[in-house]
This record gives sequence, structure tokens and C-alpha cells, in this order.
Amino acid sequence: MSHFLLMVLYALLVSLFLALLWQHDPRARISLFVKLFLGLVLGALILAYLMYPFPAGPPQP
Amino acid sequence: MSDDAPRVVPAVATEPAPEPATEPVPEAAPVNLVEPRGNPWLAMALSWLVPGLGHAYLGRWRRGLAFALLVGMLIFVGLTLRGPLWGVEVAVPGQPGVSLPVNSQIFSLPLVAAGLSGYEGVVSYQGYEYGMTFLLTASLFSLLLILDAWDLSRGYKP
Repeated sequence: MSHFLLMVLYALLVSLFLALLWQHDPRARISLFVKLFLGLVLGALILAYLMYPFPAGPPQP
Repeated sequence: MSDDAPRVVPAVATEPAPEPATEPVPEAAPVNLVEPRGNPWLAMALSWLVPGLGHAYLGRWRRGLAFALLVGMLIFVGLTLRGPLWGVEVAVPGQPGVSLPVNSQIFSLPLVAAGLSGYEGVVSYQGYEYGMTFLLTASLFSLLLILDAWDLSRGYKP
């Protein structure tokens, strides 16, 4: 399983759980789920692009 | 201006000032949105035994089943990725070489049982860090479910 799929799976489970826990109205649950899921996935992608210029590992001797 | 001009005397308050309130102000108390149901301690204990079981005990069958499936998937994926079960070591700032174990796996019986069965994470496994994330999240969500079961039982939440 790739890193991206694991990240999407994690975002899916977390968003579903929190939307189910914090909201009781079906429409509010869906709205919160979408916001959380997109925030997690897109936020991670944005952070990944921001970190792209930086070296991936420790400096070579 | 002549001395015979009438002098305006400011009006003097004749009514006594109202006395300050002497009754103690009651502390803000949680508001019961719905009628309390069930035993809150039993609901919390059932939530610890199986995440979501406390909600089923309080009549929220579908929500309890959904929570059980979600937390169960987090635990399953975490164990499959060979993540550590008995918490993580957190370095202490300013104390090189000193770390404190952060054990959050105690919030759910399935995690405790998995640890007692001899399961160990594999550091060299490719998904080790992901597994740790999934297992820690499962444990913290279990804690949230225990607290939510208390709130539901006391009627603080609908």
C-alpha cells in the first residue's frame, strides 16, 4: 500500500469518526466530513509541495 | 449678576440606594438536553471493553456499530503495519538520552489484549510509523468514546 493511499485511508477514518461524534444532523455530518477530509488530504498535499525544495535525507559526508 | 439671583441647588437623592445582591451566584452547571438514561459508569466501562458498546447500551445502536467499525479498522490497519502497541518514547527537552514512555493504549481493551498476547511492533517494517499513527489514533478515539458515553448517559448530549 502506497503512502498516499495510507494517508487517504487515515483521513477517511478520522473524518468519518469526528463527523459522527460531533454532529447529529445528517447534513451537518456530511458537511463536516467533507471539510475535514479535504482539509486533511489537500493540506497534506500542500505541505508536501512546500517541503519539496528541501533535501529528502541527511547531508552526505 | 446680582446677589438676589436664585441659586440653583442640585437635587439630592432621597431614595436609598439599592442594596447589592447578597445571594451567591450559582456556578454554571451542565444543561441536560435530554433525559439521563442508563448508568454512566457502566456506559463508560462498556465503551472501554469494546469501542461503541457503551453507545449501544444507551440505545444508539447504529452509532455504536459505526464507531466500533471505525476504531476496529484503525486498530486492524495499525497492527497490520506492525506499529508499536505500548506507546512511544518521547524525548525530554534538554535531557539528551532521556525519554519518557507515552502509553495511550490503555484506553481500549482490544489494544490491551493485543499487547498482552505478545504482539510487538517491528521497527524495520516499512509501515511502522503509519502503524503507530493508526494505533495511537485508535486509542485516543477510544478515550473520546468513553467520555462521549458519559455525556450521553447524563443527558448532556442529544
